Amino acid sequence: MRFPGAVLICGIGDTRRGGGLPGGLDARLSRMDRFARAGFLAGARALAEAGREPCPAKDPRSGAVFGSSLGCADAITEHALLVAAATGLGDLRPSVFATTVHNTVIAELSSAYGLAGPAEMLVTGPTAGLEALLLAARILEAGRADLVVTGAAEGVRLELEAAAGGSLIGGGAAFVLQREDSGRARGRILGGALFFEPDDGAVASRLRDELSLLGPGLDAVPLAPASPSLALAGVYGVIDALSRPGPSAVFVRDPAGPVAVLVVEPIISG
Amino acid sequence: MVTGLGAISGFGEGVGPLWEALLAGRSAIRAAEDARFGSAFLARVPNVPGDLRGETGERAHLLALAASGEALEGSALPPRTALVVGTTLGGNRAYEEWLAGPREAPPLQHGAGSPATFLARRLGFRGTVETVSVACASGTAAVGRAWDLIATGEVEAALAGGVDALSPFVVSGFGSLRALSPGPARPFDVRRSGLSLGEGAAFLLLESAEGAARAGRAPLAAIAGYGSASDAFHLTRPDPEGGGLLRAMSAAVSSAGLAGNGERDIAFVNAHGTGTVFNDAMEARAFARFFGTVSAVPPVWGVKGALGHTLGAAGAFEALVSVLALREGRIPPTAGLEEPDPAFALDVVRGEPRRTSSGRFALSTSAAFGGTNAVLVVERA
Repeated sequence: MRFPGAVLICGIGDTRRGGGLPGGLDARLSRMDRFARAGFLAGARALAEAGREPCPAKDPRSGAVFGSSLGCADAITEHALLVAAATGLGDLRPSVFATTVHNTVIAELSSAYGLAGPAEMLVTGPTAGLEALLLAARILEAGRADLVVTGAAEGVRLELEAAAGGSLIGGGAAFVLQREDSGRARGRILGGALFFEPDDGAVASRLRDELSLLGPGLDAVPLAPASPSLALAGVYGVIDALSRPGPSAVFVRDPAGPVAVLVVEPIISG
Repeated sequence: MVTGLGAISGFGEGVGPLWEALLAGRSAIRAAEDARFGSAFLARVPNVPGDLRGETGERAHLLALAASGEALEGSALPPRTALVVGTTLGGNRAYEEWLAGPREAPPLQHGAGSPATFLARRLGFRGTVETVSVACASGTAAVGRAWDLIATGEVEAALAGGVDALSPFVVSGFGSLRALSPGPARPFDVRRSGLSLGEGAAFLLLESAEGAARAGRAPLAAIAGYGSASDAFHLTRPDPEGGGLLRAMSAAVSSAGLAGNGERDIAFVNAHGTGTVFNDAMEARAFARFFGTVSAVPPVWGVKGALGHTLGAAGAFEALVSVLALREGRIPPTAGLEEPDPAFALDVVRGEPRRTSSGRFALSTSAAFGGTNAVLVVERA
């Protein structure tokens, strides 16, 4: 899909960088699992950079769309271990089970910032971060919202990380997308595509085909493969791409088959 | 256009047995009689077919395979066909078993995304393959996403639906929240006291009007719009004023081009109707606000007293039965409902099937943990 109108990136949050939270939000973090915490931190920082403060008033023109590969695996693991050891319901913790849904990130951001518009969560796998950005851009393009906070988060449980040889990485990165340029725009989303290709050898040609289908100009954009790190791969790839001149086609290929590609372009201010 | 339907539920395999049971007002909810599930009342799929190729033993995959096979039966699909699956836990059972074992290499094909990638490989999809997970609204969101992919021209066709399997993980979790009904769920009943869980899968084959015509497939109905919205209120408690659901309904009818006087053309609302005290009250409030007054709300019905709450599959089941109700002009009674809660003053269909009005449209509503609401507009063919 191509976005002929402006879909601007007006704020970026990245848990790899330091930084705190706006006042009054720290208490919220204590009830979240690692996944939700990572997404919330990233989202809150992106919203702060876009000039958006926490707000109890509901704004139906603002939404939240996130992606994750493992989602709330942290909370799922904790509840599963409690179930395995339980002798009765009294041994379980309702507060843990309540967070075994993958939409906790968008729920927490929505309630803290009054984001009462579109709400979506994608958990396809490593492509989910780029999928979230594409869907958020589509929501703006269709006029269903004026602002969408989007991105990816992972909270990796120690059991999984150890089994994967310590190669799984948790964290979060988020972007505030808007149609209107508030003077803070750092980049724009030009288009993107999603497809399924189980044959590793056919991915490159399909990427070229998909970019060609987006129309003139995008088929010559340099491809920028994202390093595999769950759904964070794509969103970290977008942050990297915004530091380079000219457009880049950031793509993620999940070995299970899904492929996502997003074409982004930096806006250099000054 | 909706051109194919498939389901596996507490009533067994197939859309036919499901629809017949709903029209008869039957319920698939029974006492579990399984020590793993305690005293819960559940709607379990009686015989889940195995995988003839032996590629998976994951219950959620098997349920999805059965329902998607029926929806696609006899269809030669265009190359750019999408697959969108809604689920809460997907292939979680393998993960639970891995946790209970020596925890060597992480299990393959586990996690929320695994039913979609399994189906895509098995059935040869090449278009967009996505998994959406907004808790109990996932099935509705999956169908909505597929509708949008076709509307934008990204794909010509999409198989969309939802799946979730029962496990001790889920049943004990809802038990710990004290959300389970001590008997079969009673949506919108004055004595309602919680939900009953169920399992299954439901899929709809969607095609562009041109694609369906080219393939010679007659539309059963159409998905005409979709909307989602957050309560922005609380993680597990719905907004008592139904604000999020109201916004999702408004967004859905707006996307269908119905905003204005089009609401009068809505023949019925298929409600989320879990049978919990808070959900049903919230929905009643949202419906009254959306239609202006309670008396303007068209007939309401729900299937969770029959199928149980199938979580990520629920919205797909509800879209599927909304298609059937519009097509056949009959609304099944709401199983489990005996004495409507007078506080709602809603016209909830009960006892016997009812003829639909001449309205061309129906709304199918979902409300989820996390305050995510999703609504589909279904249109008569």
